Amino acid sequence: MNQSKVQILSRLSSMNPISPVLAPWVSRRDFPDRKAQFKQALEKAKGECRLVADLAEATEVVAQLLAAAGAREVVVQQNDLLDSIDWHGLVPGITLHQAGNTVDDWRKYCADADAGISSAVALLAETGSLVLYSGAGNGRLTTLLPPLHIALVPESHLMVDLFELVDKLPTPLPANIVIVSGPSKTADIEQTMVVGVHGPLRLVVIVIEGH
Amino acid sequence: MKTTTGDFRKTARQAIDDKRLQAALESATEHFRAGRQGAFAEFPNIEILRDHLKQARAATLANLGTHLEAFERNAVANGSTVHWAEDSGAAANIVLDIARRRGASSVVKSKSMITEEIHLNQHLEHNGLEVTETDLGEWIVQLAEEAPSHIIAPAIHKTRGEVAKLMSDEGGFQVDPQDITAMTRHARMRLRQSFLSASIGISGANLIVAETGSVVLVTNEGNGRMVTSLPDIHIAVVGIEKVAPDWKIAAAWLSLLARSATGQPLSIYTNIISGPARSDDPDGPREVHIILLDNGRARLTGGKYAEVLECLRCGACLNVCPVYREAGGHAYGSPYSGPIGAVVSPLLFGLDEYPGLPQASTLCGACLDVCPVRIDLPRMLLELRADSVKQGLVPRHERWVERAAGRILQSDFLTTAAATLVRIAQRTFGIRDRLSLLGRVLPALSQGSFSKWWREVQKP
Repeated sequence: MNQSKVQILSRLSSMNPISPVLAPWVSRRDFPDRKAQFKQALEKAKGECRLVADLAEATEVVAQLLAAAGAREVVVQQNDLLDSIDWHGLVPGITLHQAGNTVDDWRKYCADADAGISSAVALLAETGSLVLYSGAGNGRLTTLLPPLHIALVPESHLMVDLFELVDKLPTPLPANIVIVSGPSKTADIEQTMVVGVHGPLRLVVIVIEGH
Repeated sequence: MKTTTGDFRKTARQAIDDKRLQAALESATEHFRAGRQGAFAEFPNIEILRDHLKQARAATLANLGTHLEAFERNAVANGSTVHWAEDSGAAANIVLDIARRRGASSVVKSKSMITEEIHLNQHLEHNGLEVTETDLGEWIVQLAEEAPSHIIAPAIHKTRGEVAKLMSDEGGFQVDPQDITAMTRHARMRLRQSFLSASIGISGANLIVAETGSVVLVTNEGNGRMVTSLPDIHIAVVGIEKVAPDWKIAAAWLSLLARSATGQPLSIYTNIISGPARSDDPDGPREVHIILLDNGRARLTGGKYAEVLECLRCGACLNVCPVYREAGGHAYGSPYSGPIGAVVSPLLFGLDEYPGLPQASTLCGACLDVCPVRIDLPRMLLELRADSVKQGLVPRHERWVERAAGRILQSDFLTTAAATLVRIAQRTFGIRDRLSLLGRVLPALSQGSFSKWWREVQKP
């Protein structure tokens, strides 16, 4: 065994291992209207939330957002939901990437993109959060580098809070999980809040009702 | 010796006389206090959650070895490399060694108090590496070659004009000194170049989770995600006390952390790292190294100061402390300032190095009041003061005065006699309101004594 490890462990006070087991926290939190709570919490953190009836309406909203933002290059994650959309027909003239031939290519597409589009594993109503797992087709940089992040998420992915999420974590965990609770921001200069620092300047979550 | 009472007073005096700094400190701490209050009011049963987390933290520390070994096993199973460092030098050298072996020359860092503790930046720069801080406040103080002055808001003491000048000098072009948004956009653009080209990303960790061998890092800016996703190598330095045994406890921890620090229910980005990129991940680091640092923490377990290891590093105690709010962070001379800093700095780095810090308190108890895990800082400040006396760290004249005062106050006759003498002196010198005695300003003694009045009042 590593010498430093041995030294450190030996310095720790050894306690009676039979200590009473602490009962875990049970969150009894819930909201009469989880969607409304999610929207309110996300908007408080300067994020945007659109509630749509179906995937078709969601697609229209995405097209409007991209056109209004003057987006020319877009990076999109890959999953069943996102793959069912005809991206190339969406906004004429847009260049779309879902993967790179090399890691460097992918990084460049994400760095140059005007918008990144993802879905989400879960939404947390209490904190207005979006939960993203890394994995095949789900790059981290898609939702990190571009100035605009659009997420399309079925309403059925809506959970109450972080306590519910941790009860449903997969085994093993993905290499990276991000819980996103708004667009990036800082108040480091004279305590004046500015939205948009290193992460996206704008976060739009489109919740697809009844999905 | 780093910070004596004299040192503290001197720097605090400068801070107190700096009207602009006072306004900045008040505005920042008020903002955080109000935020915390609002967040706590909104959450049902938060007092019970605080008690729960306190018990969980105490129980974890009582069996810390078990949890650290579980963490190591699960982290290694994810593909991370776990290193153990006994002290600052060892930790800094592990980082340097990794950098050297990979031929890395540039490093980006997200905000990490523990890397300040181990003087990592200086060590790497001395050895030829380029280090860029990426938290906006930390980047600003790095450009200014100063130390951060608050755990959560490192550049509280800088004006927009000062920030603009630092950025202009660094970037080689003009930045509008009035436009804070423009400055932030400039930082985004400038630091993005660093993120994209750095070979190594270094972070701390807000907590680590033993159950899955995960590192949890929270930021509002997104620099934590950048630093842990873009460079090929990610190194996380974390104190051994920062472990949560499982995800249920981690969820309770995260529920209290941002609420206590800034009033947000969660920070903008809660980043959970469980090993390097998997084979089919499009991006992410190829290597993840986690350095578990002791540096004085292990020997505190099981003793009267063990409680200090429960700290979540939220900064709530700084925001309510009447001393910190006037003196600012630099007076403490340590990476850890405020009430927690006054206790943890002497404990980790030596009471003989920081004899002034346990004195830098009014013992008002506001820190205990707001601490999410109810750490009894006032108790430990008193214990440290007692330790200072036992270790002979209190100047002889001060001990003499306190011993004399103790003798006088224990005797009714001597107290009455002393008070009478003071009253005579006050009358002679025409002192009505204030009394300056041995460097302290006290209210003057009243005209009549309480004991005399009490005797009068008892008469039928």
